Amino acid sequence: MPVEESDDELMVRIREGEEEAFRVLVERHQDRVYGTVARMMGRAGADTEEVAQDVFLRVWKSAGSYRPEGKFTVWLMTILRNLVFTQTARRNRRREVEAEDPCNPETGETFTERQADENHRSPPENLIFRELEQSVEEALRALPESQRLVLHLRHTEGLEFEEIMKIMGMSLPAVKSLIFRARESLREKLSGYLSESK
Amino acid sequence: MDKNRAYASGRGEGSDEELSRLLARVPPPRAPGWFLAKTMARHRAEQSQGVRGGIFVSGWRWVLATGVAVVLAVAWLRWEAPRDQLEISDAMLFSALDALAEQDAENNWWAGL
Repeated sequence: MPVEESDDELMVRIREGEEEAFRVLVERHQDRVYGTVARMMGRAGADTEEVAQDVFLRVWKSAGSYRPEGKFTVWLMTILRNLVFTQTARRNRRREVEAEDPCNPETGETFTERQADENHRSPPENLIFRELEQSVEEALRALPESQRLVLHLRHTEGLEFEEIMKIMGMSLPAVKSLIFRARESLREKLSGYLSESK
Repeated sequence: MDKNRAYASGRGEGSDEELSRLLARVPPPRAPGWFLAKTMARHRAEQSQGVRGGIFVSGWRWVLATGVAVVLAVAWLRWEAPRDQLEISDAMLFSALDALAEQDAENNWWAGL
């Protein structure tokens, strides 16, 4: 059984222009990048796909500047943060008013997955889950983007505080403060789903 | 535990297991099945565009460099070219000398010399 190459090894090959290494890297991190972008953009769709692709294309272009001193994920998420924040700022400027349907059959994303999940639940369970999902997504969308990102990095990606500090370019107290405020805000908005509200 | 103590101890983010569980129940979406293929296709398209762009840019660089070289060469040739000598004929010289002598005689007459 072939030994799986580390991200750093792949980056060395990418720096030399090896497309196969790039393909392996994209395949390995696509869910992480796509999921984070989707959470940050507040939905899954064409925009999300484009920004997630931008992240990987930037990885290819910046491979020369990559130094395997820290964790690859931290570098990847720093690129992602820069692109997503730029994109959301641009979007806010344009003030686009679009119907934000997180389950868009045209973009395809989540539709089939969701249907597959729904097949495992009874209709009442599905209804409850959809309601919960909607409430959580709305609560997350309502958070400022910095809070949303640190919360995602901490709880979904399971990154350490030091890693989040590097990604966000913030001090430890600032990161802790963001996470704390994000959780307080979520607790308040989702109190109906929590047995012991503060 | 008040908010400040919860935050300062770091427990503010770790103590609420229920909220974590709730968030975990709604994971972010996964990349669609075609994401890898589309990303690679876009990557290849950008690469080939970059190569074409590179040739185009280098083509323009050649044109620019040639233009600058031509301008410098012309400027140098013009600078180094022998300038037209001013030719004064003997007749012009002697008539000028005559005029000077005449002027001198006239000046002397007016001075009573």
